[in-house]
Amino acid sequence: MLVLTRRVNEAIIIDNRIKITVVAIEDDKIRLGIDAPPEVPIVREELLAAVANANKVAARTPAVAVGNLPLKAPQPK
Amino acid sequence: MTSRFGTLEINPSDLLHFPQGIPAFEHLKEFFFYPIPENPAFTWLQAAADPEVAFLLVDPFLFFPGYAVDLPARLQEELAIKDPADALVYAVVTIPDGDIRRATANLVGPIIINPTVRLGMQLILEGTKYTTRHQLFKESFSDDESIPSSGGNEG
Repeated sequence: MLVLTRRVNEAIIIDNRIKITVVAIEDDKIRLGIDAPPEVPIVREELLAAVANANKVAARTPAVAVGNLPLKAPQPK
Repeated sequence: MTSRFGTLEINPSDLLHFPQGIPAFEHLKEFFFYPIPENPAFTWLQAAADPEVAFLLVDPFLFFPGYAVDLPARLQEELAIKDPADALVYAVVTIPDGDIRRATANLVGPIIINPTVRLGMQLILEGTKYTTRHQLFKESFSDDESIPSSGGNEG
């Protein structure tokens, strides 16, 4: 892993096309600004992990559960 | 062969190709629909190569009227989507302990399918208030604002 030191408002350029700027630092939080072409997907690691975990659980859904599924959620009262 | 539906004959032209797989199942690239005839709101998405892996999908717009998905240009390109209205959008359902009353839908990771060219992928919506677990039955949503907010991830 490449480790670099940056100050607020300093940036890193990746592959000549992705610019990551340190926008603000407060306590243990760092705000990053990312300029990237629209075709580059950007997702927080924990969100990807949450989706992967949800998929693992969902993949085990038993078939028998489906018999009771209603067509549509009950309307709000 | 499937673990839930017995042995099925699948026409190769019925297969849906997921070039990137889906998170946690990146090795599975081909799926097919196993519809639930009496309930068009739901369908199974069965992995062709793994009989154990099937996802129960739901039409999220029926259950969450305020739900909206922006299809990034990159995704439209990868799935050869010419008109976003032609894309199928599903949410993956999880049923904790098989208790249907506690079923949840993953609104932050919708499955997008272009039925015309039979390409699909799971989109992850960054920067929304959606989560992986929205109650299907205990709550009803009339608009965007009633969808529980937790910053797009789960605790």
